[in-house]
Amino acid sequence: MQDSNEILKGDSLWRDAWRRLAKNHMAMLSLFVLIAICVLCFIAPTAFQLQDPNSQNLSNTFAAPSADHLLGTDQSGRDLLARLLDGGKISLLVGLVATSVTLIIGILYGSISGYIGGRTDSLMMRLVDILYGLPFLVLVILFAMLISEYSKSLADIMIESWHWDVELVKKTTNLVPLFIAIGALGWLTMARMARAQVIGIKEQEYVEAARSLGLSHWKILSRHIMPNMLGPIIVYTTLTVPNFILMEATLSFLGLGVESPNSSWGIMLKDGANYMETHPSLLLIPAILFSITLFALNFLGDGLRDALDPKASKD
Amino acid sequence: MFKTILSRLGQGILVVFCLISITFFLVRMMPGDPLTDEKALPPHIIEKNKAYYHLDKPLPVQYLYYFKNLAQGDLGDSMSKDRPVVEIIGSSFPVSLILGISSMLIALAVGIPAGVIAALRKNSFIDYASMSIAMLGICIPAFVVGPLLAMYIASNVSFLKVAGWGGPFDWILPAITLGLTTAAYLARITRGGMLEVLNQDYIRTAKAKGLPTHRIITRHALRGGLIPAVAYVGPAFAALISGSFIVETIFQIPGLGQHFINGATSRDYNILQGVVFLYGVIIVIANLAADIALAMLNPRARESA
Repeated sequence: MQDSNEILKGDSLWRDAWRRLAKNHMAMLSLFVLIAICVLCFIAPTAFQLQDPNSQNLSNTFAAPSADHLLGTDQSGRDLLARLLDGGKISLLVGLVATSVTLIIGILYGSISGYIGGRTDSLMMRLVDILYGLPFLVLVILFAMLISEYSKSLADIMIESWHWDVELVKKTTNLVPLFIAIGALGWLTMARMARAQVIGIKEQEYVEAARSLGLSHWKILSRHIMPNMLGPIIVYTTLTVPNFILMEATLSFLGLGVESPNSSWGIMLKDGANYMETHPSLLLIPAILFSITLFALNFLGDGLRDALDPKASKD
Repeated sequence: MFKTILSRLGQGILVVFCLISITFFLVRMMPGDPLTDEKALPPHIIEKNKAYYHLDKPLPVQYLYYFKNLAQGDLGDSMSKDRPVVEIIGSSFPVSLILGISSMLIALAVGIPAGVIAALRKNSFIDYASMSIAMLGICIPAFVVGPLLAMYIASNVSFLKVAGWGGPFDWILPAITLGLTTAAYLARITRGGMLEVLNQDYIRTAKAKGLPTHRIITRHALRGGLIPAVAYVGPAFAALISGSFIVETIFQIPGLGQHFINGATSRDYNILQGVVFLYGVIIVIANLAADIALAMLNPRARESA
């Protein structure tokens, strides 16, 4: 169906989807919110000279919001707003990197496995089973060990040759093992879901038609199967982002992610949970920003799903 | 079908074997070793302990020893707890199994109906409300939900305890904490899958034939619409019954999850391998069950399951 559209209007699937997405107010609002949060976290702290997120003031702990500290201070007297934005950098990065890795590897692996079928499929999926079973924590410790040797020289290159922000580089190189471990294991469920979709789609009439037209396997996969399986994949992707961000919190808790005193949303939630009864704002403020981000992501994902559904356009 | 299942079980044994072998070498690549303690033991005692766990021998020999014992159903002794691994797992796995099954039941009972109803009433109030609640369930991590439940529910309901693992009543709060996220995921995935199917031509055909709505849903839409959810449930179930460190810590439950973490942090090779062995078996069975269910839902996939 969308192929005949392509010929008639000369429109690509994506441009068509974008036009439909632009009409969806909720999705556009969400896109705006997401961009705003990214700007706040990555640009605002340097642009507006906010306080140092890690400087403690033990005589001013649990302070109420004031002109000095717009959202008050935490259990060590650190400015909550500065920590929130600084932590957002890490959490957004973890979510973005891990999700991209998951999407690329998971979709390619799963759809190739499902498309080829037979023995290759069995072999590829059993490999996924093996990877599922590997203890996540052991992998993170191993990657951390292996990478710490290389990451120092990598960090030097990023700072000296590419002129990246020194602080950001230091923080992110600590996270590299985490990214790799999450990336290495996070794509497994995505691969299973993609495979299940492809198996359902590959026997459909339009795929058979494409095959009888003599299209190459890659064209059939990328032009006819993948666009039709995007719906559930996008929905699942928006669900994995919070998972990765919270996974970082669990690992940081065990001393394997973000190093203290640096912050992330996950760590702030975790610290805030300790003061839930006495100072609920320490939990509520990061929880609200985290939730807003994920809600926006989610509505954007739903909007994308609708926009990419070729059958929905008829309604 | 029967033949496929048999061959999958054969493959499963191979998967577990590979998993154990990889884990065996991975854990020994970690920095540090299990016998270095904070209190400095005299060298001859360390040597004696090393000999006891065969850690003084070359890796291939250790590997053969491990599989020789495994063949006799012996997973070795825990290096940090001085108890047989089989005994440790035997006491904590039933706990994790009960917790996993009850939280999965909660997730299925809440997640799938919510997802189906939301998809049927797309863009209605019910849809927005249930999906917002689901999103909250995903955003709020277990280390917040657990203490909240313990604080507000356990203190007001007389038969629920803040922590501990005695009778069936103690299963309720941990199972809710653990199952909530899975329920939220299931609701979202089911909604996505159902929406995909509800636009298909065969649903339109069924409508045109004049079938009543509930028949269209149960006989036609659910079959295809549940495929993504089923693909998700397999691994999710395996993850649930292999224990959760966070929920176990909050409610002080003697489950499996703690051994994953403690085994890795104290470099207790035998415990880690034992837990991974069990986890591998669970993964193989859960994924096989999910694939069988997928094949039953999708006749086109039957031969390739």
